[in-house]
Amino acid sequence: MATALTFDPVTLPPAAEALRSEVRQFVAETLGNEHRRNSDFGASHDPEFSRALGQRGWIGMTWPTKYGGGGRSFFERYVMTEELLAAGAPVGAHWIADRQSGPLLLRYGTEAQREFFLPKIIAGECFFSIGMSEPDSGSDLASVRTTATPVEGGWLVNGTKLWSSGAHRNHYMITLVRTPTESESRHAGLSQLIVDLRNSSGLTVRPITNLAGDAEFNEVVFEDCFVPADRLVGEPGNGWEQVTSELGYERSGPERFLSAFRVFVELLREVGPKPTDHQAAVLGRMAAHMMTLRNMSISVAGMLESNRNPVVEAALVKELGNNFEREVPEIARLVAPGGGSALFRQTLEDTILHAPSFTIRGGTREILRGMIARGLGLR
Amino acid sequence: MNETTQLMLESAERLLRDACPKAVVDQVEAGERPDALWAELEALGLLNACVPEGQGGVGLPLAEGLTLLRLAGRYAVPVPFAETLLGRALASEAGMPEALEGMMTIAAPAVQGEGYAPVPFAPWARWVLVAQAGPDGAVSFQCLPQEQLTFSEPRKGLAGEPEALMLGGAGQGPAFSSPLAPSLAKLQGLLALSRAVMMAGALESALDLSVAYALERKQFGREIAKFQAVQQQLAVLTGEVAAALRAADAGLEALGSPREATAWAVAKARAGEAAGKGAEIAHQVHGAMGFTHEHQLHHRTRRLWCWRDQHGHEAYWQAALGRALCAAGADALWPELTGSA
Repeated sequence: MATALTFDPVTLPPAAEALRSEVRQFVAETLGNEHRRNSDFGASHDPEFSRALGQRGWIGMTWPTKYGGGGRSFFERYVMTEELLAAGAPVGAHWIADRQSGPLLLRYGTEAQREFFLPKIIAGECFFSIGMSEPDSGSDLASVRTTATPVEGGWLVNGTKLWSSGAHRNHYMITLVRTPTESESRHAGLSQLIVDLRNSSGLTVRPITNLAGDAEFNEVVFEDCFVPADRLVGEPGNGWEQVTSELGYERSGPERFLSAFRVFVELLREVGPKPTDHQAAVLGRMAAHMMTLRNMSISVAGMLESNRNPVVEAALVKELGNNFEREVPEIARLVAPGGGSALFRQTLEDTILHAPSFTIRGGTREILRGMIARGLGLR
Repeated sequence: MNETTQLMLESAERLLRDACPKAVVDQVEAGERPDALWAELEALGLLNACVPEGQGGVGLPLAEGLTLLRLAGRYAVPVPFAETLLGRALASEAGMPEALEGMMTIAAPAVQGEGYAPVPFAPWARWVLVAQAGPDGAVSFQCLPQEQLTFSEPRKGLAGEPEALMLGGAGQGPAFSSPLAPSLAKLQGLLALSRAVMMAGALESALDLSVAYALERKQFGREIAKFQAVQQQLAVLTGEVAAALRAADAGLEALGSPREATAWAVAKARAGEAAGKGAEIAHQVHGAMGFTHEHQLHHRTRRLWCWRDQHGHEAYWQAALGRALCAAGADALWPELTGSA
């Protein structure tokens, strides 16, 4: 148990700190100083911005240079992402491809897939969605029912995927499907296919409007949709191991505690230079939480850098980070003096409307706590 | 962490496992001074960890030596471990070799309120390191025999350990200063950090006890660890413990850097918050058993409740952080949080 609690100290290397000022300058020049929403909400899809990042070499930063990647450390990627998120930069278009689809292909994809997809992702011109959940499969991912039946030259896919963010405007979706198997195990017979969202027949993408009014996630319906054989990722039947590894990349990054950061910034502006004791304590508490979370998240980046597999540690960062993010708007509304400026109100309301998703996406609070409990040997 | 520290932590843990069982903590709380435990701590040289080698110490830097306090928290060690460890490091500047033997405590100006904070273990200490605030925030020290000072009637704090208010007697004899704590703010920060590290250790122990209990206690025909409601609570506790440990360690790592004051405020505020939440969950998991005097959980939880209030409670350090952020302004928030202003 003690191991799950050990978040070794990490000092960011000078190269990462040097990159920080470069990213900060880039953001200031590219986006100016006007008000920005939190990075991960609806307004964050901006292909032009993604392309500009790609030109800088800031997508696929840790990937091998032979595919056009940066060959840089996880610490540099960490700094680059936290700077963009803290600034409210629109990173949504390339986010999934950079964080998890690319790493998945590097680990399990064929050489041809890597050569085809990775350079496009790196250039900020190829965006991915996640095709995991279904109408009857949320937290219980192993219950997915979408099938892929082998046919001449590929697979015929039938079924429905749900909550696929950006599927209405991205290029590809890595889709978890059931393929034929002899085994009775729920985890057997799962496979991942790269589905072309723009050039497939038998595919319908229907945006679903969320409670904030954004049409961000989608229902994706497959009716005899043909996927060529060379779009299978890894081995048929190995899908469970692959999605588990993919989710590992998803859980410990700075996006797990920065979703509400712009509220913190605007709250500080509202409170001004002379806080009451109560306001000072509330702001200081948020800072103490954030600095500790960041410290833990950087420690996990260190574990990734040394090829460890910090499943429980990542779950702890997400659990603590998400709970903190959900608290930020709740705190802000009570300590802001008066009603606040229009800018503050908009940032706050925006965040209140999106907050329910923080503790659901990427694994619900309850599922993560279950993973932590498993790490403690309770189950 | 250097190799000497690692070895010292390992031998300290072996020692405490045997020399600081529940019975010893109970004895202290019943009013008996733990002379045998103290002698063993001295014999191993733990209390001289940060005294220079030339003066018979181990010569560890403060940031390394203070890691021992995590064990003091984990085993609820009922002696002024932090005060003697830190006090001897400061007193090694005094040219008083005799002060480096025997129990030492520290009388420090209160972080919150007027005058001096209650002095831990004052009735039992041989030496009291009295800190006196000077002009411009400087601090000087006197290392005085306990009997030279007058104290109030001792009382037991939440931890069940004796403490007393210093009523007078200081101000006589030579004073000295130490480069380890040249200012009152730094001394108070180090004392707050010591409590953060001790709380992190006590929380680790409370988690271990809670997990072990949940795996052993059966209700409704199975271990309570098998109930999701209990699992979820223990997962929350784990998060608090991990955060307290990281915040406390970050405080130690920052010692000597320009960020130390911020890191110590974060450590005390975050570990203090974890102490309250953590103790609550540990008790809930233990049910009525953990509410008995017979169970050892309260040796940890009562210390958590005590330590979170000593040398500034959460709100005090949070407000210190908050005021600094407000002074820097909204656009400086991110650079301030990341130390990259």
